[in-house]
Amino acid sequence: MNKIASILSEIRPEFDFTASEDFINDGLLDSFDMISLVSELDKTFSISIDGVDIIPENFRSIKTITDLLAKKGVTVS
Amino acid sequence: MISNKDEVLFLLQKIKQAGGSFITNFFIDDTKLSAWIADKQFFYIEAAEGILFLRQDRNFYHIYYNTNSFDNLTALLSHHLPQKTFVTDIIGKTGDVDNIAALFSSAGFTTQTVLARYTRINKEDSDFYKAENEVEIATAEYCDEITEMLQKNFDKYSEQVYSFSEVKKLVNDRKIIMIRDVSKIKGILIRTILPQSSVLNNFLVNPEFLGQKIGSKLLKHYIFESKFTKRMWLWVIRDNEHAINMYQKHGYTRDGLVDVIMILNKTNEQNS
Repeated sequence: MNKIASILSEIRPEFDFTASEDFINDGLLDSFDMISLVSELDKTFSISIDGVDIIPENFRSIKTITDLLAKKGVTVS
Repeated sequence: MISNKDEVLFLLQKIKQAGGSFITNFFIDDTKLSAWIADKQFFYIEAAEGILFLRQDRNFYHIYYNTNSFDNLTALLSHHLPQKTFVTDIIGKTGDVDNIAALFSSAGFTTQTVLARYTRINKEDSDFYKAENEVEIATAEYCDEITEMLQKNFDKYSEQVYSFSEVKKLVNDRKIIMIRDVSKIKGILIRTILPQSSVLNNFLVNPEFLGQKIGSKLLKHYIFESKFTKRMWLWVIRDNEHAINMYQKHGYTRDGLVDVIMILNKTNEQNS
């Protein structure tokens, strides 16, 4: 499983994140989950996601999260 | 006053750039944030130790703290709050919130109430739930009555008490269901149902109609409506045993998150 999908599944095991293209509007992540996700991504990839990037648009899908990580120099396969 | 969302993000960026752990209770909800800014209700206090966002709500302010150490949070609360009434929500896992609550206590805040989050993971048992005949979607003619019910029965500091215009929007979005008789609303339930999860935002039975299973009917109907979602959740006052028993009976379990609501009234300090 993709590392991002794996982190998401740890936060919310009841959902299939690979089947959604809009985690926020589909209701897979709430605002508290988003902060937990930022913290997990920071820890896992040894990065610090910028405050300006902690917006729902960047956490809507595995693709947008992958793009966000790429901005921090992290490539996720 | 904050005039756009970019200002908020810029201020958050400053905290992140300062390093340390990011300590916050500001979990961005785009829709709410945009409404607060548009309604000119959103302010901030910037200090060397961090940033406090303040949202005006009638005659008090909700505090959203953003800082990078416990010492800085203590300094922010002790030295930078003007003479107003403040309420804050400290949200986190049971136990994790205790340290932060202690800092607020040392700055003079007292605990108003504690909410606990309950979650229901939908399984096959959702088929047991059927539409309740008495339940209907609230319409515009009931906005006044619903607003009055909420304002009369809810604690403005610890529960979301919607204004008339907010109720009007909720009604317009078909987010309120109710049971009524010819002259009065017996109970209402406000909910947000998304494709995969469902949130029970507010739930109220008119005290005049207690004991008639109004709450049970509204809740069962709501579970029926949410049967296609995977996760349902709600916040409830932690020691409201009657409500908790009802939620547990319908499959909700405590998921470990708590919301400690603390209050500080500084309006009398000038005279003391």
